[in-house]
Amino acid sequence: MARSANPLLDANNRINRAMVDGVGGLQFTAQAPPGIGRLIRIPFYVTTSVAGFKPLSTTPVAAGGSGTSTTVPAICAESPNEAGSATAVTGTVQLQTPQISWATLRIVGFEAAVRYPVLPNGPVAQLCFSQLQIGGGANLFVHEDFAPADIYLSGQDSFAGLRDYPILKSPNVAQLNAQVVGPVGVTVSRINFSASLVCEILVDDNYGAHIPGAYARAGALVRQGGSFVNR
Amino acid sequence: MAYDDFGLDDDFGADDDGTDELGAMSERKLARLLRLRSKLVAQLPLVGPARQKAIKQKLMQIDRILAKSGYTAQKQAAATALAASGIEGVGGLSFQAMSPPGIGRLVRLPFYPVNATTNVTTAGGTSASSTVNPVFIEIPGVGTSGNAAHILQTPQISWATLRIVGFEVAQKLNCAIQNPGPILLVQDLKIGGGANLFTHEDFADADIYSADQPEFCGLRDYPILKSPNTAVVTVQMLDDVVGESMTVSCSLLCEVLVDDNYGAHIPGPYARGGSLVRQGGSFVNR
Repeated sequence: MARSANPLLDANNRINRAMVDGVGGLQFTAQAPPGIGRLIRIPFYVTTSVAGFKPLSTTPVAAGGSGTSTTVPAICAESPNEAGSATAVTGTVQLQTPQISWATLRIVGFEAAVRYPVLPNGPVAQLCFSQLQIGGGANLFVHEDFAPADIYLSGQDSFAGLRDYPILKSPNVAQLNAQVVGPVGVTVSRINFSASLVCEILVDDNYGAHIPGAYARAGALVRQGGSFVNR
Repeated sequence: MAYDDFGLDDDFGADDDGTDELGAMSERKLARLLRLRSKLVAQLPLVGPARQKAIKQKLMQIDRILAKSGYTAQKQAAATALAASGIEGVGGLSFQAMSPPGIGRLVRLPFYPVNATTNVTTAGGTSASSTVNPVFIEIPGVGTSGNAAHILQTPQISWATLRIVGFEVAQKLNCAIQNPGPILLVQDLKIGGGANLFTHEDFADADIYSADQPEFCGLRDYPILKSPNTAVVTVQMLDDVVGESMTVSCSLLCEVLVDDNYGAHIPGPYARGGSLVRQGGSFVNR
C-alpha cells in the first residue's frame, strides 16, 4: 500500500500546499513610518564660497554666483562654463551640517535631492560628491574621489551604504565636497540640489533616549579589527 | 485508569503496530497522534491530580511512539525551515501586495495657509489666506525668484485624538524645461508651541518629506495632537531664476487613537507603546 512514510516530506508537502495551492505565498504590506527618532535627515549647508554654487534666495542667481548660508540648504549649481571655469569641472565646494547640540545621532546614510532640467539646453552637467567626513575622520564613502550624486539620490528604492555608521555629536559636524562636471566652453542647464545625512537619534535632550532601528543597533554593528573600531 | 476515560482508544488509533512496511509511521497516524497530544496538553491544567497523572503517562507514551517513528520537534522545525526557505515548491519567490494600513492609520491631516502672504495664491485668492482648502500656489513677484516664508496650520480636530507619526509634502512645479525648477523649504514643525519635531533647526529641502518618496522620513517625536492644539509648519519657496512657480499642499501623517464617531482604534506597530519606549528628556512624560 502506497503511503506517505516520511514525516519530514509530509511537513514539506503541507507547507508547499499552503503556499502554492492556498494563499499562494501572497503577503500584504503597508509602508510605515520608521518610528520615533529614526531615519531623520540633517541638511548640509554651503559653508565655503565657491563660484558656481549659490544658496537659493528670493534674488535670482547670476552667472558665476557664489555665497554661503547656514539656513538655506537648497543650492543652485552652475555648469563649469557659467561658473567661470575654463575646464570641464567647477571648483570644489564644501558643504557642512550644523552642530546639533541637543542630540547624539548615529549616521546611517546619505541622501541627495537633485533637480535636473526636463530638457537640458545641451549636454547634461552632472553633480558629484566626495569625502563625506565626520569631525575630520576617515571618508565614509567607499570612493576616495568623486562619484555621481545619482548613487545617493533620494527617491531610490534603497539607501546607498556607507563604510561606517559613526556617532555624530556636537561639536563635531559632517562635511562633504561637491563638484559639477560639464562641457567645456558651453553654458548648459543648472542643477538645483540639497544633500542630507540620514541619522538615528540616540539621545535627544528634549525627547529622551530612543531605540534606534534594527540596522543601527549593537548587534548589527559588530565588526573586527581596524583602526577606528573602538570609537 | 483507562485511556477510554478521555474518550481515547488504547492504541491511539494506530493501524496494527502503527508502522508501515518500511517501519515508518503513516501520515494519518502521525497527524492523529499530534492532534491527540495537543488535546491532552490542553486538558492537563483543567483536570484533577489523578487524571493529570494519567494524562502525563499517556503523553510520555505518545512521545515514545513519535520518537520511535523518527519524528522529533527538531526535525519538524527543520522541515518547516527548508520548505519556507523555498528549496522546494515555490522556489524562494514570495509575493507582496501593497495593502491599506488599517482603520485610523496613516491618515492625512492637511495644513492650511492661514496667513495671507504676498504672492501666495490660495483658494481665498491672490495674497489671501484660506482655512478651507490646503492648496497654495507660490508665484514670485516680478524680478524675484522666491517668496517670503509663511506659516501653515492644521485645524482643531475636536472629534478625535491623534498621534502624529509623520509629515508629507506634495508639490508640482511650473518651470522652463531647460531649468531645474524651484525648491520648497520647510522648518519648525511644532505642536501646540512645543519643541521642533524636525531635526533640522533651520530650513530643509521639502523633498525629504515628499509624498513621492518610497519611504517616510522620521521625526524627533510622535506626539499626541488633541484639540485645541494645532500643528504649524513654516514653508518658503526659492528658485534660481524668475518666472517659475510651484503648487503645494502639506499634510500631517497621523494615527487616529480615539474617534468620537468610530471609536478607539489600534494604531500601527510603529505607534504602539512598545515602539515608543524612551528614557529621560524634558518632554518624555507627556
